[in-house]
Amino acid sequence: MIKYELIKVVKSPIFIILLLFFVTLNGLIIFDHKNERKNLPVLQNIVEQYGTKIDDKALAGMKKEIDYEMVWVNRLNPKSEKQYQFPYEFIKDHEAFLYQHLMDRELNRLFNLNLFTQYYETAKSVDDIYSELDATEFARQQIKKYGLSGKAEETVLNQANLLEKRLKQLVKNGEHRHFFYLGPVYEMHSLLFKKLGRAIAFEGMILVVLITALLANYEFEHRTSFVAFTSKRGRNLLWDKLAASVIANVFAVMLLIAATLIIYFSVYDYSNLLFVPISSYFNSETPFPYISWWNLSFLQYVCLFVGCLLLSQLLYMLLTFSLSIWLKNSYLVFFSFALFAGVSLWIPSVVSLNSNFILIMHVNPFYLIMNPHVWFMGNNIFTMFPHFEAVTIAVWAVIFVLLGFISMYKFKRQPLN
Amino acid sequence: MLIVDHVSKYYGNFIALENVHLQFDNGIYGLLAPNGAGKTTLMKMLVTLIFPTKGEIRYNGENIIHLGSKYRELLGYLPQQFGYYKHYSPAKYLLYLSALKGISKHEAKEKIPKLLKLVGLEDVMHKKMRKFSGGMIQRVGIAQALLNDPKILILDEPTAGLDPTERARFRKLLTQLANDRIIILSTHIVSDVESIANEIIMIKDKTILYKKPIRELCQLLSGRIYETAADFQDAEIFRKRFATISEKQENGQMIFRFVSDEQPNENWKSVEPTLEDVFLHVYGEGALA
Repeated sequence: MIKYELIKVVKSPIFIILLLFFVTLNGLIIFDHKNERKNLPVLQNIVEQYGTKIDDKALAGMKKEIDYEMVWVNRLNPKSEKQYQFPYEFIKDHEAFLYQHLMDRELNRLFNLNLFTQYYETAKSVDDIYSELDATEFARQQIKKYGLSGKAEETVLNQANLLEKRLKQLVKNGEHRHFFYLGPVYEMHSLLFKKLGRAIAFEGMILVVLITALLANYEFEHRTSFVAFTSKRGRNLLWDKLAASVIANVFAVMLLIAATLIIYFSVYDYSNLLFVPISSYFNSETPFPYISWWNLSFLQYVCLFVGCLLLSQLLYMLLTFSLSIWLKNSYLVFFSFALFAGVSLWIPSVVSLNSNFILIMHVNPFYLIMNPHVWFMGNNIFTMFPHFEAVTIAVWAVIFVLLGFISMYKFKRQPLN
Repeated sequence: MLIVDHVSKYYGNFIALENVHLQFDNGIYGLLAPNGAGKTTLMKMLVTLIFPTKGEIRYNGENIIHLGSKYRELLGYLPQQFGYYKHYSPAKYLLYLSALKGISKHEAKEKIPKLLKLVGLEDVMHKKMRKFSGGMIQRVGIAQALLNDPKILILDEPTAGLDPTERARFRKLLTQLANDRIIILSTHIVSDVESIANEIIMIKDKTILYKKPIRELCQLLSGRIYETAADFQDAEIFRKRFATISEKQENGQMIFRFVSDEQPNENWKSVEPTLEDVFLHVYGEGALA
């Protein structure tokens, strides 16, 4: 029976059209700032030559390369008598000259060298930066920013202590001492996990609600419920619909994620960076760097990210399925789902900021997808718990599964008029 | 044997059916009542779409709700509003419904062409149902009800949309099927059941008024049905005085068919009561005394 239910989804062209539309949209997001990221290969060259780990050998090699190239830089302007140590000094003093006299090839070489130097300088200063990092101070700033007080403040500060410990462990592991695309310049983490991650989450949500509501309400909307639910399979048909929903939704969401990631990784080369810790300093885009609760490589983080995305979509599927059982009308289901999502996001904004209730209210499946770029990290005071994502998914999975069973129980005993 | 054991159905304060008690053996039963009398409610309870508020329905001694799929696999049901997938062909739709009914694909593929031939749809079995007429859809509905060779066949207004030839074919089909199964046929069209039903069930005032063979029902009006001619100017007076069942114009006069307990006069011609007389009398002027 599951096969027949799946055919109903496949036969609805809206899903194929939507899926293609979403992938195109994500493609546009990916290509949107491609020009600003045209110097990304500089890092690939560094990594190929020196590896991803920042150590004395790598730094010495880089310095040697800079010195060698600076000989060429110092010869670029014959009128200049000053000998420069670093390309950014030269660029600063000869801005007008560069664009008037240098060829594109020379300009590229100069700017790439400048970027190379930036990687070198940053790598040199990593340890100093981390020695001054203070998770508690970061938490205090955030507490002040959002106006938390009382028990909520206390809880966040306790969590900041945990983050402090993790920070020490991170430094000890040397997770921060790895080359990665320069966060402040390229914001690759935000592009992949925030812009695209959030887009996929919302697109997936639309697909999931549509697919689930279509399957669950199909017999009612085609007026075939009387024949279908009086057959031998009867109201157990809903179990087939649930199974088909899981399969169709997992397939649709995975297709969306896979297509988006394939485009992303085809455009931006991560081949040498897959095993770089996600907490590398180079990945940070704000003064307080990303700190994952565990030592995760970029690849592991992507896998966890995909898993979390998929599970959150399954939560939406469970909610939609239950709503469909009660409402039996796709439009009402869409409206109710949107209302539920809206209320879930609105409640935390009106809850008192001095009790832990404000933090509990953030444990909801809709808030979860608002900040996917800080999943499994201690960078958001409202989600500053090592297992925030797992707990949110588990708690709501239990709630929605229970709601599903209650709905099924009700459906088996309700009159079908 | 299917027993509706003192069943009542309430929707809040609204009484849809009250204390209905019926027993069905193999044969055709015509459920005859005007629209809104509770036929569909009774049928929906028989197919487990809705549940009795009081009483229970038993098949071979067991409550049909407890029997669950064991009961439903014996069931063939054509609802009043038969829904279908417009983008499916009859063959494909029946294949899907076969799966729902627990029929193997192999068996279904053998059965479906035969059933579609039986209802005269063999030429269009692979055409999408989008452009089918109401009558054609109704025939698909009849075919699907027969898919699992049901022991209990419940048909709610099955002849709606069928032309006279199709109706006749359908009646013949039911007669052939009635030997070894219970067929319950709801209708408000007397001719649908007049020639084929073993028993007629009439619902009035939310409960069962009669469950009798047609002959016995007609005997209730035996000697009380007359026909007479009257001038047009006297027609209104006649209507007020007698419970007219039907009237027609013939040779410039009105011919009345009516029920009367009065002593007949020489102008009245006593006629044999028909099921239609009973139906019109029961629902037109109140139940028979």
